[in-house]
Amino acid sequence: MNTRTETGLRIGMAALFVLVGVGGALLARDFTDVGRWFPFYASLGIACMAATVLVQEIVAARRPAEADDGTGAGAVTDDASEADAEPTLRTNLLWWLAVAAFAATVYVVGLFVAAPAFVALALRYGAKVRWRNCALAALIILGAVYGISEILSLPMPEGLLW
Amino acid sequence: MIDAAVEALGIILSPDRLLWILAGTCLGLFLGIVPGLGGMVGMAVLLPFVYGMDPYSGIALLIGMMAVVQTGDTFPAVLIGVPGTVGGAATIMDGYPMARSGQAGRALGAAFFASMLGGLFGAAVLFAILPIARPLVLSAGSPELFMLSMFGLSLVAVLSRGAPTKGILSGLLGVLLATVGLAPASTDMRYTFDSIYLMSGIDLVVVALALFAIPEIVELVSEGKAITRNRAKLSGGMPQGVRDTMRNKRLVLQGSAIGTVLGILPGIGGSAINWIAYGVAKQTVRKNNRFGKGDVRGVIAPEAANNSTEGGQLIPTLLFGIPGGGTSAILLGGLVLLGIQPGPEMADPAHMPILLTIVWTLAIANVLGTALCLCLARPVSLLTLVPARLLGPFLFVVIILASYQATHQWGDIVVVLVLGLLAVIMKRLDWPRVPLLIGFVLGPGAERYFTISTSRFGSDWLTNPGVIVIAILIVGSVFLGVRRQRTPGMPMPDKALEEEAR
Repeated sequence: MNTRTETGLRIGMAALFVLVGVGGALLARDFTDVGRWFPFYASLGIACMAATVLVQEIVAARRPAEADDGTGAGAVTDDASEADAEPTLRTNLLWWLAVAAFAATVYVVGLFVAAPAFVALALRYGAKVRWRNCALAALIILGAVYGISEILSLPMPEGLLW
Repeated sequence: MIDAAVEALGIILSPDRLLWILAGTCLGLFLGIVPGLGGMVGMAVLLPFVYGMDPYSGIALLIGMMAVVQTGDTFPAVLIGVPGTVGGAATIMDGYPMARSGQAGRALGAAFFASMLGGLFGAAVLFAILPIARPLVLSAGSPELFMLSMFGLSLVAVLSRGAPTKGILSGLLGVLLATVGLAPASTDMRYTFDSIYLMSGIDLVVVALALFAIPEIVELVSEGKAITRNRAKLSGGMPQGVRDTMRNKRLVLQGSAIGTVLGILPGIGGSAINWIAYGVAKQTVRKNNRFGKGDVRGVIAPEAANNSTEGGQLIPTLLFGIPGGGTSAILLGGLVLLGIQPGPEMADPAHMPILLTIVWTLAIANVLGTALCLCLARPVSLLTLVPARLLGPFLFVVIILASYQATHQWGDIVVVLVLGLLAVIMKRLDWPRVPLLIGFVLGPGAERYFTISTSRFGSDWLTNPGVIVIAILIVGSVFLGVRRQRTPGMPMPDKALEEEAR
């Protein structure tokens, strides 16, 4: 669990929340008395809790390093677990990026073009599906999206081009 | 009253009205299964169709749809960890881990049966309470509603999986996120940064999809496995799930009672009620160390609550014209289109057949919806055997489409992506995400009722008997929750439980 990347992420996350809390409290000072109460105290609570978590994470991050000083075994374990952990985190973020790229494509060409393209490419490169089947899946999603939009009269995100 | 009930049953049992109930039930199940749509979309879609229908047929269609949305939303919640509606989020906590360990059938069986019992309980309470509803609804003022919101918020410490500091922090983040937009009692535009989209606040559907759907599906496609590889217990466990529900009668009753009673109080909202039912169940059952990891009781309690809520919410909707939620608000419009004017005069004996037709429709639709769901469970459960990388791209399209339906603005998609990234990292780092959603759900209500209470009563409301009773409940529940977390009574070894699951 305590890989260098994850430790950095843990500390970064807690630090981010400290900033959110402090920023939220500072911005809340400009609100009227009635509107200030909840956001100000929620922000203050976030800042205090996040600071506590930040201290805990820093203390926890220092512990294995101190243990490694004596035997060196800790460093081996860390490297091994890091090798296991890194691809999962990276793969998670890559898939998130793929979804973000899909959303950006929808913004440009609209859902009716972007959805079949995304499904076909994701199946081809994510699941190694044959091109012919990818094309079939693209047609299915196009039909499903079109059918839902027509039957339920749902507005679909339109792109800049279509 | 009994004569009127028999007369109403005769009206609703005519073949054409039963067909309308069936049509409404099928639509409701479909809307529950597709993430992001839900009862409000269904009501909006049906409104043009009910215009000109006879009132009883229109009621059969509208109430039939409304009654089972919460039953259908169990499918995506259990099978793919995506809330079909915001009310389904609590079911994910234990339903999805059960599906991942090959117990999808058991989870679905338990959920559907609990939903049906909850729905019937709600209908029965609606029937029983009609003569005494008025004083009950009027007894809860803003101080009591504020305290009920605080009761829900106090559950974040219990639902934070042994990390209370992170849980409370997560809950406060939810409260802060909910303050974005126009303040409830002033003209402040809070944290909008001059964005028009943020001025109306962030929609609950978007937050629920970001917190649960995005990280679960991202993780599944990253692993590249199917949701489960255990074909044997996929749907064969349904009778066991039904038996689980029968064995946990007290839990069904407790969940149904929470759903109905809190449903009667306008402004609490179905999603908050489900979390309260889940949290209370976790605190009151024995050997709760499997809660959140695939305990069937964590499915039964919220599912019983969410269907019973519909019965409860109909009481203020019909008798006072005060909608208990978004779906009820559109239902009000539908009833007016049918020539029915909801309000205190609905309690007149002349209107009793209409009211009792609604009660019967609610009961029949719940039974019908459960039967349909049990029939559909096997084919739909097979989805969990499909490798996630084949299913994932389709689900991502559904998520983007569903999030856009919240307010039809691009901001919905941006928010779902940004919060989704945060949720992916939170999941990776074992940060509790449930408290964030609870804070988001209950924060606005808590703020609104607190502001009304202090502006109307100063600090006098603190001495209201109802407030004191709920305060004692809060202290007791937090004390009990913290004590249970520190001294887990008779912990069951995880390996033994996994063996049992296999």
